[in-house]
Amino acid sequence: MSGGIRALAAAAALSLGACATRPSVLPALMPQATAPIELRETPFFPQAEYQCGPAALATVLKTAGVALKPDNLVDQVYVPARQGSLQVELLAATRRAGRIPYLIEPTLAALRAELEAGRPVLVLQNLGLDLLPVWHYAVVVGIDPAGDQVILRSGVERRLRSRATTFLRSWELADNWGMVVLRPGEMPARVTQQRLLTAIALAEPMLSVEARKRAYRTALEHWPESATARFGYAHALHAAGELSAAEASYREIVSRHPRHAAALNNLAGVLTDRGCHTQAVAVANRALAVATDDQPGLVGPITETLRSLPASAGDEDRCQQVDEAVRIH
Amino acid sequence: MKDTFRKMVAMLLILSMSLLGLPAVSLAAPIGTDTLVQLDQRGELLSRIETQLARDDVRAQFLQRGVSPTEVDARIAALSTEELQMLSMQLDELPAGGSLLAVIGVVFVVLLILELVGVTNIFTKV
Repeated sequence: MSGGIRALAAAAALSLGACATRPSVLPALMPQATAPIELRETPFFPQAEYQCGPAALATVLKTAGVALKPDNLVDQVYVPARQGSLQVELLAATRRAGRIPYLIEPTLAALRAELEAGRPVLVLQNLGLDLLPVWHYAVVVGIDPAGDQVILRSGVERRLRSRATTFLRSWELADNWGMVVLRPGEMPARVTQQRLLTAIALAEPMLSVEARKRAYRTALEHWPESATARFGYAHALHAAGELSAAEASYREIVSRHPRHAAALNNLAGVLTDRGCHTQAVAVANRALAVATDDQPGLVGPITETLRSLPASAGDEDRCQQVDEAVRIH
Repeated sequence: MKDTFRKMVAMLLILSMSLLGLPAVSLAAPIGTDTLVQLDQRGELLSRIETQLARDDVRAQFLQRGVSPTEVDARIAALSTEELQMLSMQLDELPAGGSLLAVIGVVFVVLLILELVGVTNIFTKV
C-alpha cells in the first residue's frame, strides 16, 4: 500500500516536473555542525495502535534510567476519545517517574545540543496541515548534515531517516515542541534559568526529598544568586528534617530579599519546628504584611501558617540569639 | 427523656469542640516551590476554589473521554495549576499525538491528494 502510494507520488512529482535536486538545508542552517551524530543505543518501542505517545515517552524515560514499557504508560497518558496523548500529560507522567521534563528551546541548534549531550529528544510533529493537523510523537536520535537527514525512532520504524526539510516543516507546524528527560541533578545542554527552575518546581511534588535536594543543589551551583533555587533547596532540607541547614538557607534568601514573603513564611515553619515560637510568630506576621502588599496570592497560605502556630510555649534558650539575626534584616 | 436531652447536649458539645479544634488541626504546610513559580506578575495565584473547579472539570472531561476512573486522580495530581486550567478550557483543541491510523474519512482523502501533489509527507512516514 505504502509502496503504491510512493510510486504514485513519485509519478505525480515527475509529471509536475518538480525540482529533481533539492538544496541541502542542514549545512545552511548549521554551518558549523558538520559532524553526523546518532545515539544508536537509544531503545526502540514499536508503537501499538494510536500509541506513539506512550512509546516515545518510554524511549526517552529509558534513556534516563526509568524502565517503563509503553503498556505501563498508556494508563498515564492516553486519552481514548482523542486517540492520542496530550503534551502536558507527557510532562506529568515524566514527573510521576521521578524525572524532570525539560522543554528545549524551540530551535534546531538546541535539539542538536541535547543529542550531543547524549539525550534523545521527544518531539511533537504535525504531519498534516495547519488546518488539518495530524499530530504525532517521535524521538529524534540523530542528525546527519551530509545526508541532510534527521534520524528518528518513529511509529514502527526503528531508524527512520527523514529528509531535513520534511522533518523541520512538520516540527515547525508543532511549534518546534521538544522535551528531554532529566535525572534530578542533571543540567540540560542549553539551559535557561527560569525554564529549568520552573521544570524542577513543577516536578517537586512528585520527587523524593533526596531527588529535590540534588536538583536544587545543582541549580544553586549554577546560579548562586537565584532565590528560587535556594528556596527549593531550603524547602527540601526542611522536608528532610535538616532544620538548621533549612533555616540558614531561608535566612540567606531573606537577607538578600527582605520582602520574600514565601521564604519568611517557610522560615516561620522551620522556627516552629525548632521550638522558637515567639520568633516564628514575628516572622510569620512579617510574611503576612509583605504578602498583603506584594503578593496577595500568598496571603491565604500565610494566614494558615499563622493560625497553625501553637499558642506560645516557652521558647528554648538558643532561640534568643537567633532573634538578633532577624532584627538586623 | 432525660437521656435524650443528655445525648443531644453531648452531641452538641462534641460538634462544637471538634469545630473549635479545626484551625489547630489544619497543619500548615510550607509554601512549595511549585506555588512560588506559579505566582503571576501581580503576585496572584489561582484561588483555591478556581483550582478545585479546574481540577473537577478536567476530571469529568477525562472520564467522559474514556480515561480509567482508577487512574484519573493520579494523572491530575501530576499536572500544574496552569496545565489544569489549560486542559479545562481546551482539552479537545490541544494536539493529541496519536498514530497515523487516526487519520480517517474525508481527512484521509484530502491528505492523500495533498500527499500526491507533494504538499504533505505523511505516507512517506516523514
